[in-house]
Amino acid sequence: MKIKIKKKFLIFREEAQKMEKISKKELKHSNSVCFDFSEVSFVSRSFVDELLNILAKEKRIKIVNLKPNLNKFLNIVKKTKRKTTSVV
Amino acid sequence: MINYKKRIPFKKLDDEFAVISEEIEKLKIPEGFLQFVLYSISELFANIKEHSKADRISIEIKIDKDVFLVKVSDDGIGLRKSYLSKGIFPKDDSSAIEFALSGLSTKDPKERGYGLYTIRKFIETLDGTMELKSGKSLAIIGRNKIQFKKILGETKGVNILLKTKIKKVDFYKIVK
Repeated sequence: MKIKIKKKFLIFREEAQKMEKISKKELKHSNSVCFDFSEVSFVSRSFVDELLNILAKEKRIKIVNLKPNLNKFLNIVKKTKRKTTSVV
Repeated sequence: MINYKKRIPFKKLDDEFAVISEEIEKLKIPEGFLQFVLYSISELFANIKEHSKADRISIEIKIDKDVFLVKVSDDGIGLRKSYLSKGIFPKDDSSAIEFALSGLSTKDPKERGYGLYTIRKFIETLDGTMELKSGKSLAIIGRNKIQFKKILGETKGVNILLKTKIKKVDFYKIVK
């Protein structure tokens, strides 16, 4: 199942939570859910942080067509999250 | 050039960010700086959305040939009350500001709140100014120092001012 994100700017955690809700519904009758980010030009750190929490919980959610600069940013946030959560 | 000033209801934050960002993206400023501008405004908006319990938000953004300025004020509960509501106990408004600037998250003590912490890093790197007012305290942030001042009366919510010259900056290096 492929879902195209129609928003250009994703800044709030609740937008990632909305994606999770949609995924839960879709995954009842599908093996995976694929979100197409081709129209997204900006993601905030808060959004990415929440998205990474969701992706870590549910491996069947995939993100595709992420612009290179957003992908780079996502990887930086992922790396920093790993660092901070391992120091307990 | 952008000269934007508006007071908006809380529920319009999302729409307003799109309006502002569309304008900012058209500007001819260094790519890294553009990313910093969008990053800082988005984090200020996200903080308001997640923590402020505000009704209205005042936003002022000025970008000219050389200077970027943003002022965002909300009429919400302020930093100290926000921490208190999550079981974190700053002794006063200055401590609450220090917590926020050092990246103490109200969401999960294991995770860092990167919003203001990273904005501060950018402002320090760019040699700019950052002022943060909440409750009875004003913090003026410069390179490697925070100066606290007591203010007369009490500020409702949180007021933040960022001002810096527009310069080339390596966004990904600082955002780490």
